[in-house]
Amino acid sequence: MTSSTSNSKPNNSAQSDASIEREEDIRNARGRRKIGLYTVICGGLMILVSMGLVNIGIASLRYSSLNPFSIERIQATGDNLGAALELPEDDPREVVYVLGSSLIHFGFSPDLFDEELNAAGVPTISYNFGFGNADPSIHAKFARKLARTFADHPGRIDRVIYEFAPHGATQRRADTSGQLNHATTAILSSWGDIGQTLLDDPEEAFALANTRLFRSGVPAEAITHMLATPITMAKINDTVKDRPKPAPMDNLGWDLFNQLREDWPESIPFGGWSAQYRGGFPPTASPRALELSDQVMQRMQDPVRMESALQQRISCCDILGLEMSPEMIAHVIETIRYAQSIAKDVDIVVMPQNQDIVHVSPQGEENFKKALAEVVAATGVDVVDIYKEPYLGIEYFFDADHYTFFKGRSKVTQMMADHYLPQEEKETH
Amino acid sequence: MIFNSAIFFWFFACFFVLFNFVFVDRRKIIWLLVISSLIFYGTWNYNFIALLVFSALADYLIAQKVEANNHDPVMKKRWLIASITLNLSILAIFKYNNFILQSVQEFVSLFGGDISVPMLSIILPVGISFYTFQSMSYTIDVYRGDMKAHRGFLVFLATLSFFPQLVAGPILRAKEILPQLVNMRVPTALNIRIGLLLVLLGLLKKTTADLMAGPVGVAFNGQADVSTFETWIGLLAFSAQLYGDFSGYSDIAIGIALMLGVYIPMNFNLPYFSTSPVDFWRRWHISLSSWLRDYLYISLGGSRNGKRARNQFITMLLAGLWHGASWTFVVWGAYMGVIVVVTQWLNERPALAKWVNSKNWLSLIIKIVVTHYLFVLSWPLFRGSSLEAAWTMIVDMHIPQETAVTAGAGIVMALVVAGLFLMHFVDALRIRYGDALANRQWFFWPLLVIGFTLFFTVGDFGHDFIYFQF
Repeated sequence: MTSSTSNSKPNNSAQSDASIEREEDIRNARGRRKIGLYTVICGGLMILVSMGLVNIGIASLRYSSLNPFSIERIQATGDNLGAALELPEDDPREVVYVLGSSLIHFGFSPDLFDEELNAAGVPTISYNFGFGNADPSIHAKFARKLARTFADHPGRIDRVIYEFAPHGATQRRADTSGQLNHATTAILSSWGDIGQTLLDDPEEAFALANTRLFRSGVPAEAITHMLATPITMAKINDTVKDRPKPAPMDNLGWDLFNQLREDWPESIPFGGWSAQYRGGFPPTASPRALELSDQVMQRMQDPVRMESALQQRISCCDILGLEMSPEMIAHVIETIRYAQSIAKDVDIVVMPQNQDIVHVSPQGEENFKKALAEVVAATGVDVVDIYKEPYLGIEYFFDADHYTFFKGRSKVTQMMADHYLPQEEKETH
Repeated sequence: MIFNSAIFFWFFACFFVLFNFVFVDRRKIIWLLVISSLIFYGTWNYNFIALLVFSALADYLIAQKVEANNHDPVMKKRWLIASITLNLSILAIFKYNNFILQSVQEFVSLFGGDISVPMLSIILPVGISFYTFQSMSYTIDVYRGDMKAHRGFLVFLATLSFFPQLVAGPILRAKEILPQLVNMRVPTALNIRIGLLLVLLGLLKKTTADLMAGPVGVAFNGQADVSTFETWIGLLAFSAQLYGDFSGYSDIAIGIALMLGVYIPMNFNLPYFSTSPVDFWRRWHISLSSWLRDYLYISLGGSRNGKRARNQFITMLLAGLWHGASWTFVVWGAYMGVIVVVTQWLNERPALAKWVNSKNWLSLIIKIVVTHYLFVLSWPLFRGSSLEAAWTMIVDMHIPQETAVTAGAGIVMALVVAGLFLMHFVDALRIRYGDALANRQWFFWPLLVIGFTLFFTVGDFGHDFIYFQF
């Protein structure tokens, strides 16, 4: 009896402690729920409003200014990859998809290309899927999306022409293209791709999902990159600081932009993807736009501005040294293989360079030749080599490598089309 | 999983929901805390979870042995030595192995010997210096009778692995955090608001620090082409980067903990407004400075027997070694020791008393600038790749180089100085008016919206927190 009593006291005490602790836990849990709810509502609302403001800012940048991140263009090209599927099954024209960098975006006119080939008896319908701010790693993702889009329609595309830009695949370019690659990857990846990334790199997968869902495809890093442009440009312009100042651009660029918007209401001049012009721009514009364009190009072609543009290309892309990145070359090959999986034929084009300005070093030439041979050996593609023949000088360019909107674009498109003319036409052309 | 990443946001959101809405029983909450902390730690390298758990278990058991031997001072001391030896051995194996082996090899070669010791390829476990010190302080506190050995391994593991401060501090004492995890106090709405404010300030500071990476890289990685002016830009940018990065991390850690009802003391108190090196170390990484003071400096005898200078020097030397396993950190620590000892000696000269105690603006500004200069002078050692590179940089700082200053350098300098100043200015405002601000909700929430909008707008790509490497 005694022992029973002495044992029950600690038991009772322990039970009582446990019950006090339990009550305390329940009380605390109620408190935590209340404070948790407060945090979720107030904190969540605060985050939502902040994200909303950021998205409004990003959207206004994306849609209403000069396509600062190319995001709008990249998104639109990705969304319109299935354009050829809308053609009737029995459409006799050869479907040509042209992929590549901003050299294609601004330098290839589907209308002019088709016009020349149709006149020569080769009916084609071509599309411009070029976009800037992307290196071959992004092209590979884009081509992967293309391959998925046409997986059930193999052969619907007759020809893919993929632009292989030498300075787009250099080691320096690979080292400096981080911020925008993240944005582009977020836009071009499917949820399956993001799921796959989750297995390999959870941090990256979450970042991609966030960028895609909550940031309109534009990561904070891209905005910083844009904000830092004046500093980057100041450093680049340092190389020409002792030379005479070129005539100021005034508002000519904006005037031209606004005029083109007026002339081409269906096409956002520098962003977006116009179905009407199949991703390109109309071949011509109003006299006012042409006049403005001439003025803009003339000022851009000032030797000091050209030198500055060259320095910018040296700084970002090693345009003269062309030390190629094996990783980027692998992505070029990957891009071509995706295209080969759905198109009847795939060619690569090496676009004309500004030979008055860009003098690639002998080692650079050698590096590029080697890289090109590697790509051809790995994929068996044909090369449309208009890199140096015929000679194109400064009059066709508005900076180190981009073609002028009308004269340059028309010339380069014609050079590309010439390659596909029947043999007899080529001889007479 | 770093604090300023999307994955951490979702991790914390899930944790917060489970912590506040799902579990009632405190044991389950502790389990949640431990599992979440181990997942958080495991995202760096899950292999080192075992090391963390082992470290905690060893000190948990040893502390009980220490306490059980209160009646036997010799055994008690032996158990303490066992704990210290174990913790320092873990650090020696995982952090200092190659430094020790390489130094032995070089030392032998000085005497014409040639021993070839194969270097070990062991990855440094993230945060090892932080949790090892934290764990060690627990056994020392039990030994000194400052706290009782805790019964219940899970809570102790939760204390050591508490994810907000696990990988880069602040270094908490078990006696500070353990009772809080046992009691699981519910945070107040004011705690939540101050926590959010600290998280925001931390994120903004981290963003500012990341933006400094550019000029820092130019100065530290391209010595051949850098002008004196740009060397200075890089060094001041490093001041800003180091402060923004580390104090930003600490702020986020403290803010998150506060939102969970756990109070962690501040780790920084406007260090670049310090008027002497001693003052600096009272304001910079306070949890490390106070750890070193309480467990090393005082154990060495503190200021007793006229050995203050010696003990201060040893403490700072070891503080240098704590930061990294290389001779640059050893020399950095020695330099810190010298400036602490010398400036304190100068401060105590009667002839300088008037100057030292002066509170007028001009003398304060001069003292702040001189103190900052003394620390900037040490950055080449702290950040540099070798002693030679550090020396070259110190020379470049003081002897004008022929390399022309690039355009834009002036803007960059202005931005760096603005960033450095702004971070301190905002911190000073927060210290002074933080509570008052959090109490005025009509002003507080819009301010937070503006701050988070800024954070979501500006970012720089892929920077880990610098102090993870320590």
